Amino acid sequence: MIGIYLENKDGKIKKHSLELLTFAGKAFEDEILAFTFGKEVEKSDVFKFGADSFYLISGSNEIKTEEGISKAIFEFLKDKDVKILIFPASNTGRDIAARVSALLDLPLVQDVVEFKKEDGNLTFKRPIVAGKAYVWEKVNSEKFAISVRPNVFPPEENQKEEKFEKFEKFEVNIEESIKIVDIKEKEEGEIDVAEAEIIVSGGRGVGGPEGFKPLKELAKVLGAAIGASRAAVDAGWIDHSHQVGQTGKTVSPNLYIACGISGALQHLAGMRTSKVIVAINKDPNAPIFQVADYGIVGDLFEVVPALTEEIKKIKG
Amino acid sequence: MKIIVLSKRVPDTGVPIKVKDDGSGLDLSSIPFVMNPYDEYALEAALRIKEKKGEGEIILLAVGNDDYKETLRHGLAMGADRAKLIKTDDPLALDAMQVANLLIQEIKNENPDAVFCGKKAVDDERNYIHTYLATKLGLPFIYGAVNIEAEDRKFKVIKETEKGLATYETPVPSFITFDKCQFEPRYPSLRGIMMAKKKPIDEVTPGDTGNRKVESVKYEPPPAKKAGKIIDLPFPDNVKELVRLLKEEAKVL
Repeated sequence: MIGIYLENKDGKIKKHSLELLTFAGKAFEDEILAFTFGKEVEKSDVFKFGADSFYLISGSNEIKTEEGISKAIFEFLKDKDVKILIFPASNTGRDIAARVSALLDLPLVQDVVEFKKEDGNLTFKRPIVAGKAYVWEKVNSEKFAISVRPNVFPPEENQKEEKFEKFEKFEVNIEESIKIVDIKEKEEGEIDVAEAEIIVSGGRGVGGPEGFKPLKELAKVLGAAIGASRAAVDAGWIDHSHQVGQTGKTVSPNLYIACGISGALQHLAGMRTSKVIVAINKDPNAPIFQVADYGIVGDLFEVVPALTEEIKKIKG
Repeated sequence: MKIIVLSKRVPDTGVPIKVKDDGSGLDLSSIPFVMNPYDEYALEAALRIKEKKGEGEIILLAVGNDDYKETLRHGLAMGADRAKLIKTDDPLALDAMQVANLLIQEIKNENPDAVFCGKKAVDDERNYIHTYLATKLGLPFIYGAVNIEAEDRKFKVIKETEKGLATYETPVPSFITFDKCQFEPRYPSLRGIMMAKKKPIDEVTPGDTGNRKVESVKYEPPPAKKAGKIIDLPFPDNVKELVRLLKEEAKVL
């Protein structure tokens, strides 16, 4: 049996998590046990994308931390015969993957982007040194866990003829040793750069915190997240949670629009696996143009607002 | 307050790194090495706690060969009090659980008030040793702190979550890993560098690692990216053409 942890936002399963169902369907021929954590959940997608059974795990007390969620998942899994456990490699997903694997004493391969079956052996590919290289890893254990990167396996509706569609709730009481005492909520509608399908990113060329304004307008029209280079973050123009690159987040969206980013090695390492890269920069010799699919040499304060208007036109 | 900071030696992140032609590993022959940047944040956090409290001891702990002494000296020069090196000739031949198995006994021996380290090592990015260790040690664990304050019998930890920047409270002792922080790691002072030469680096014989469960089979360079096209039209025709290409050729709009 394959176990898959699905992340949900306010009860809706995230797209990245649905990708895991597609991945599992392709990589393993086995029964799929899906589970998520929360009070309520929309379950139709989970069966549509290939789960055989689906559990909603929740606390009989209030559980808030990654520690508590992981312990609840452990309680749910400990007497189930799950051979391979799959987690989304989101920021929180990696944390929970590691905690649950450790509680179950399982080896773990994080950030899988590809798999291969050879003579019955499975190997998994993952990026290392921030995408400057990849390694294929083999697990010498009957049971193990992996986490899988977003935007790698597009979700496909499952073609299985027979569907079990078993849904149950699992409730457990968990003591948390860690407490969350305060949260400064993000701005409404802000999309996490690590999970976004489109990213509009700014670098030294934006010139200051105000310079992100046209980028934010473009992002709004595209439904994109705002990214930033280390130069922009270190200058204090934008929060570190937006940083893309070796000491920030590694991303692989469908579209990455780099505005005023020269393309330092450590930034390229974090975004070079994006499917389509657009570079807008004044300097025609900027290294970012070496990895860009499409480039415009020009002033971003002229080009970006024009781009926003053009996209508004086609989006109607 | 006694804090252990786990410190890894990694290739400098600012230089290009190539895969060996036969795919057996990374070619690190002429690469400069540094302390893992996230471990530097962890050490800086520990130093700030010690300075604020006016007392404490900071111990660096690493699994590695003689080359790791250079990394440990750097940490001592930043201000750590002493270092321990669990000696193994080829640290890269161990998987995450094996490294954790080597560290666990030394941490127990020291009985610290906290264990700190980076949220990940920027070389192999396994993202597992810390969590496995914390779980086996039975310590409350926080992943990816960006700031920390030590109170009497607890730590206040700030970290980024899906909902926003959150403040966590965790008891002493705890295991905390650090992201890029709201402060920068200090550069070692000249005095710090001189003093570091006198600070001890104890060598420890490794215990049992257990079997290797995750094996690195083959290394690959990233797929080559074909050179793209510069849209060489006057403004605003270039923008119109870009949107057309994104829609019709790349099909991402």
